Amino acid sequence: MEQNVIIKVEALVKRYKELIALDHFNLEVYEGEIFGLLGPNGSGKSTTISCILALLQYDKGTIEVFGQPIKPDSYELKRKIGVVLQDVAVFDELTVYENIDYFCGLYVTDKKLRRQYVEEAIDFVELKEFSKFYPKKLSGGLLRRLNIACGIAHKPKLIFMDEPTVAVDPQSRNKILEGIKQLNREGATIVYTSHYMEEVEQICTRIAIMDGGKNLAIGTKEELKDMIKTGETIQVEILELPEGGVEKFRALPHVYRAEYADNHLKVYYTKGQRNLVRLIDYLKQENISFGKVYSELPTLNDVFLEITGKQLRD
Amino acid sequence: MQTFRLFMLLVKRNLLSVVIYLVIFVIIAILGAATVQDTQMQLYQDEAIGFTVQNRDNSRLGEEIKAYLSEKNDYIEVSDDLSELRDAMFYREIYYALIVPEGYEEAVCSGKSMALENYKVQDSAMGYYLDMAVDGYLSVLRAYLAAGFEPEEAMEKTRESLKTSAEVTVYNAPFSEKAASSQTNAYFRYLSYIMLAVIPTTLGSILLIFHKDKVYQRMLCSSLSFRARNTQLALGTVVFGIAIWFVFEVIALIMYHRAVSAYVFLAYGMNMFCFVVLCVALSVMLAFLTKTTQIISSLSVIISLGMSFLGGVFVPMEIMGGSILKIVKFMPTYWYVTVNDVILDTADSVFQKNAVLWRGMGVQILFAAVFFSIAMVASKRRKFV
Repeated sequence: MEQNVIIKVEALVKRYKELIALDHFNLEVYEGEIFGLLGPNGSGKSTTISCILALLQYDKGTIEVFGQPIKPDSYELKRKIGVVLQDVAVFDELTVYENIDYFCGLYVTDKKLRRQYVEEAIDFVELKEFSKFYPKKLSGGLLRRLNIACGIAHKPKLIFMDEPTVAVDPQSRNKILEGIKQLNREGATIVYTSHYMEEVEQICTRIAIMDGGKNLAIGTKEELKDMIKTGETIQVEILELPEGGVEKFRALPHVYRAEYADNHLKVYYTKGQRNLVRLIDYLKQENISFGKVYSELPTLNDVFLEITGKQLRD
Repeated sequence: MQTFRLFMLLVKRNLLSVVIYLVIFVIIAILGAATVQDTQMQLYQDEAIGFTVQNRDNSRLGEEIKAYLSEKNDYIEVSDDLSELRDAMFYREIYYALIVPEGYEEAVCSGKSMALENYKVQDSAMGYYLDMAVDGYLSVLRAYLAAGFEPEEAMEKTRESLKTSAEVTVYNAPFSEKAASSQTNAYFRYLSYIMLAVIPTTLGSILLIFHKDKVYQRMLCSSLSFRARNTQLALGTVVFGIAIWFVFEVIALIMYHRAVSAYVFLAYGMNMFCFVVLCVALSVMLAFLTKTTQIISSLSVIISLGMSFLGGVFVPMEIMGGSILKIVKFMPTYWYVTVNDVILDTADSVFQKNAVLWRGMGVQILFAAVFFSIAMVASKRRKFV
C-alpha cells in the first residue's frame, strides 16, 4: 500500500553567505510516522525545520507540506502544524495556563473548544498542579513540558519537535518521549530532531542521518544498521594475549577487524550468527584465559561513524 | 483578537508601574507649571523703597516731591541729623534721603539753578531709581513753569500728569513670557517631556515582550497572519495612547478648566494628541530596534531629556542662538512647543487662519510617520530569520 507523503523536500539548498547549510537536501515524511532527523550540532537539522516551516528563505529547491508548497503566508497549512522549538518559547509574564491558552488561541478561536484543548494539553504534559505558576518558577524539565504543551495544544496533524529534550533530567526526558509516542498513537505525524541517538532509536519509526547539510542515509533503524559493515562487536577481557594473537582473531569467520588494547580484545564481525559462542569456543581451544565478555549490536553512532568517519558527538 | 487581548492583559499587569510613572510625572508637571507662574509674578511685583525727605526749605515744592515719592514708596520720618540719616541707611530702614535746601522752591520758580542734596545706600540701585523719579518730577515741573504757569498751578499740573500711566505691550520679552504667563500652557508644555519619558518606557517594554526572538518565531509558525498580529498590536498601542492622552486631558480639565476657553482647550488637546501619536510611533520603533527593556529605558531617558532641553520644553527658545534654532527644528518637541505658544498667543481665535498651528501638528504627525516607517522596515526584516 502506498504511503501518504506529508512532507516532501526536494534538492533544498540554503546558504549563509559562504556556508552551505543545506546541500541539495531531499526528504519524504509519511503520514503517521515518527521521523527522526539525526545529526551532530551544525549538521542542518534546525535549518531544515526552519525552511519547512517557512521561517527561513532558502536558495533553491521545493518544499511541500500536505501536498502544497509552504510559504510564510500559508496560514491554512500552518493551522495543521504544531511546533516545539529547541529553545523554550513562552511568555515569562504569563502563567502556564495563560501561555498555553494564548498559543492555542492563535489556531483555535472557539473559546469553549480552546478551554477543552488547553486543559487536555495541561493534563497531557502533567502540569495541572503548576497551571498558575509563572515560567520562572518552573524547573528545566517542567519548562520543556510547557514548551511542548504550547506547541501541541491545538491538536495538530503534523508536529515538529526540535531537540525538545536538551538539558532535561532523565525522568522528564522519559516523560517527554512517552508523550511523543502517545501523540503519534493519537494520529499525529512527528518530525523529531536530536543529536541523542538513543532517543531517536527509542521512538522513531524512520530516521535520516544528516551531516554537512546532506542527507547521508535514510530508513528504519534496522535498515540503517544493515547498511554498515559492522554486525556485532564483541569485547573480551584478556590479561595476556599470546604473540600474534590478534592476527589469529582477524582470520576467524565474519571478523573484519580485531584490536587489543588495555587488556581488552575487541573483535568486529560483519554479519553471521552465534559469533559469541564461536569466539568463546575459540578462546578455550587456544587456552587463552579471559574475564568479562560483552557483545554489542551496532548503534546509530556506529552507523554514523561508518558513514561519516566521525563520532556523532564529535 | 488573541494578541490584542494579551496586549491589554500585559498593560493591566504593568498598570501599577504606569500609574506610578504617571503620578510622579503629573506632580512634576503641575509643580513645574506653578513654579513658572510664581517666577512670572515676581518679575512684575511692585517694590516700595524706604526713603526720607528733609524739607529745610519748608516749601510746598518740598512737600510735593515728598508726596509724589510716597505714592509708590514708603516715607520714613528721620530727624534732620546726618548721623541719624546714616544709621537709618546702615540698618536699611531707608535707601534714599533727599534734602531740599533753603530757597530751593524760589530758585526753581525763578528759573535759577540750584542742586538738591541726596544720600543713597552704596551700590544700591534703589537709590538711583528714586533719584530718577525726582529728576523726572522736576523736569515736568520746569516744563510747566517755562510754559508760563504759576508755581501753584504748575505743581498741580505736574502731579496730575505724572498720575497718567501708559499701556505697555512687551514684545519678545525674555524667559518666554508668552508661555510662562499661563499655567495651562506650562502644564501642556511639560507634558511633552512626560509623554516622551513614560510612553516609550511602558509601551516599548510591553511591545518588546512580543518581539522576543523565540516567541516571535513561534508566532510566525502559527496560523495567525503577520498582518493580523501587527494590526492587533497596533490596535493595542492606539488604545494605550488614547488612554494616556485621555488621562492627561482629564487632569488638565480638572485643574485648568476655568483658565482657558473650550476652543483653546480643544487646540491644546489636539496638539497633545499629535504628540501622543508621535510618542507611540517612537515606542514602536524602539521596540523593533532594541532587544531589552533596559536599553529602551536608557534611550527613553536620553531622548526625553535631550528633546526637552533642545526643543524648548525646559529652556525657552528665546534664549537660543539662531544656529541652534535651525537645528532644533528637527526635534518634534520644537513643533509641539511652538504650537502650544501659538495657542497661547492667539487664544480664542486659535482656529482662524492659523497656519502655524496646522503646520506644527502636521510636522509632528510626519515625524510619527517616519518612526512608524522605520519600525515597519525593521519588522519586515525580522519576518525572515
